Amino acid sequence: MDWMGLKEEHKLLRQDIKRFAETELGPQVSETDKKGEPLIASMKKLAEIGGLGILVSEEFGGAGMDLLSLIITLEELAKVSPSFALCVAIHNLVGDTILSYGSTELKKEFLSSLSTGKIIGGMAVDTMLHPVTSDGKRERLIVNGTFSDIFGFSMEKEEKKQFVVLKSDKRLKEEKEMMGMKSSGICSFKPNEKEIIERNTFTIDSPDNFFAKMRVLFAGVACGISIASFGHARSYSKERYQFGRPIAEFGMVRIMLAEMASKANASEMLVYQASQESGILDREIASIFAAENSLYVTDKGVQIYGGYGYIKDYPLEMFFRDAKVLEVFSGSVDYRKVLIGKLLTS
Amino acid sequence: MKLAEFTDKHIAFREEVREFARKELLEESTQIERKGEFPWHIINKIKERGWLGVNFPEEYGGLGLDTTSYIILVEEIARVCASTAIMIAAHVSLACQPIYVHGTEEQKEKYLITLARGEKIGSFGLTEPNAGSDAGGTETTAEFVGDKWLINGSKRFITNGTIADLIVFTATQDRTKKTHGISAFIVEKGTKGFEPGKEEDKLGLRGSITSELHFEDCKLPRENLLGKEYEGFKVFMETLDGGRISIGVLALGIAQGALDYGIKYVREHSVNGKPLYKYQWVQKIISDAATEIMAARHLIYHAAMLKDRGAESVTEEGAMAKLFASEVSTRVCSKIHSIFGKDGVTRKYPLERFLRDTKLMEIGEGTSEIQRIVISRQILGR
Ligand SMILES: Cc1cc2nc3c(=O)[nH]c(=O)nc-3n(C[C@H](O)[C@H](O)[C@H](O)COP(=O)(O)OP(=O)(O)OC[C@H]3O[C@@H](n4cnc5c(N)ncnc54)[C@H](O)[C@@H]3O)c2cc1C
Repeated sequence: MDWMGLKEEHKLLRQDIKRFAETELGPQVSETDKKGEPLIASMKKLAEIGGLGILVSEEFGGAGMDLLSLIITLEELAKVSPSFALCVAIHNLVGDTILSYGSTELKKEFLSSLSTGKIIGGMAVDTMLHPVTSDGKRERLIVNGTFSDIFGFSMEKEEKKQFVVLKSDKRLKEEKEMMGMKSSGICSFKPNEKEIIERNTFTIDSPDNFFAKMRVLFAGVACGISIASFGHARSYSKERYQFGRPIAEFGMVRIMLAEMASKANASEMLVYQASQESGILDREIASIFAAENSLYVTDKGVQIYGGYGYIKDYPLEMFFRDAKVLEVFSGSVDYRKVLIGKLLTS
Repeated sequence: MKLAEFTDKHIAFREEVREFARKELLEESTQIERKGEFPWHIINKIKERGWLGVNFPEEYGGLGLDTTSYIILVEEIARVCASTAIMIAAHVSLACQPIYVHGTEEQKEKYLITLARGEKIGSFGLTEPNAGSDAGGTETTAEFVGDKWLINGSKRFITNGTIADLIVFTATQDRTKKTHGISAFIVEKGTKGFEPGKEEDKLGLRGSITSELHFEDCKLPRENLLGKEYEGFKVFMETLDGGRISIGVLALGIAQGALDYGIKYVREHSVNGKPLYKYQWVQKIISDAATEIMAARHLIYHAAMLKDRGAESVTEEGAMAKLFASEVSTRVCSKIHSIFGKDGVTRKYPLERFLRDTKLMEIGEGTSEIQRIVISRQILGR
């Protein structure tokens, strides 16, 4: 849908990324998803059109664009490969976090290499909303972990939210078996207090902002998943004949399509709007809405494909799994709703 | 939870299956699905107990228990391993059942006994590339030539397809007659001109087999016709009437399995120092799930018990049970999943498997949309 707030530059960017996603990712996505292989070479290629340093200012080699531009990028990538979009979201977030909160030294050391794709950044998707065992041990999942050069994670120290950037090592090599987002190089990691030295650690002075930003990026990915799933289901419903006519002619199928379209479009509008507002509440609302609806939309997408939605020869099977993983990466939805309710009443 | 109508025999049988599932299946269930290999050793153990013919009379090689017992069996197995449960359901409800109901005495002697004893594995071939929901649109043809049936065509998405020794399937003798041109047949593995095809790479139920079937000038003896000529549609509609209850109970079992894990998890994990089960958002998820599961259980066992009491038809009740239970199960699995946070999407817990498995229940043996059509026809007429 065309949103009023989109500028010419956003529309051009969308075209570029769309073309990139279709030509570069399209031919590989099904195989790499089955094998669980990250598309590392494609990330480097995305760097050539500026996709790896979108929010980073030009002085550090980035594209210096706004949050909406990053969201549009993620959305277009996710329409073809949600896994790849997640990788790009995380990589960009590493750069943005260093840019927003890091020391000059760290900025100099990493930002331009990150923006040009010379190095790849990984990051823990831990948002403190994830349950832990009663002994309090926390295992973190690092996106881009298996192929990153550096990675970051947050931790509590003296009641402050600290962000730590480390060089990747062999501990990150072992891939975690996931239900979806299989090409995101996800691995688990347990931080070791000793290696956290001052030089590569900095304070995130507004953690709520930081997490809201992460979630709104994930919401961009979720929108891409929803819009693509709807698009596939719509085309399929016109091609698939049963009882002598396209299934798109059946009322119950039409209802599903209408619901999918409204939810996908509404999510996109909310997320775009939230990218322009810096308020945490707007972002939280948009991201929970987009996440929940992407589950609904992919679920109904599978349903419209019938038996063919259940097999890997058709795209909905992957979108269904990816949407679920993405949803929980932001924290349990109902817990997030409780927090939103709190924000709404405080 | 208790169902008021369970007899002591039902309860004892449920305990027996539960014990088996816990001992023999629980540990392996994740591996079975992950490897995507058919769990022969488990099936052999199930066979030894006679459960592959649980609800057929002893004279036909069965255990002589009722439909309710069969439904209990599928629920308790699905609660732990849905891949194994769907294999049993396809064998019992879709292969044994139509032979038991529509087969001649000779066919029962020849096929049902070995199937019910589990010496042979059965399967049911209805769906085709162009005939899914519209199963009446069968394109596979059957022609009576000389003294044999000549079969040509293909089937798709057939559970147990490549491992079945015997398949009940449909073919049309006259496409112009639409549903009234269809007949049902039995084909045995190894018959010339019959070949199972490609196995599907699926979202879930990866320990079960779903495959294509191909018939190319396949000749079948006259006596392999199941039921009367041109009454194949009736055969499979009746088969599905009962089969739906077993897909419904598969969904129920999966939902219960997810809830089992959810309860354990919220007792053992905390967020921000507070145990999960003390949060209202968690209590809401768990209590809604338990309530919906209870409601689904009532619908399912109600349909099964009606059948046991000799109800002429359970079309409406079976369709309602399947529709409700399958949608409940997807919702429950997804919700419980979300409590687990990232533990729900890695293989650390089987939650992610439950969600992938259960989605099929809204599709197989008639999609939810088709169930709604069946139910409204019962209520509103055609
Ligand atoms: C794992 C698995 C195991 C299976 N096992 C077996 C088996 O053992 N034997 C067997 O014969 N089949 C089996 N099937 C096939 C299954 O029964 C079919 O997939 C199912 O009936 C749907 O058919 P379809 O896939 O062709 O979808 P379609 O019929 O093409 O349906 C596509 C969409 O259109 C909707 N639709 C279709 N017609 C209408 C209508 N009139 N009104 C409203 N909506 C409509 C459907 O609800 C669905 O949403 C299996 C499938 C799977 C995936």
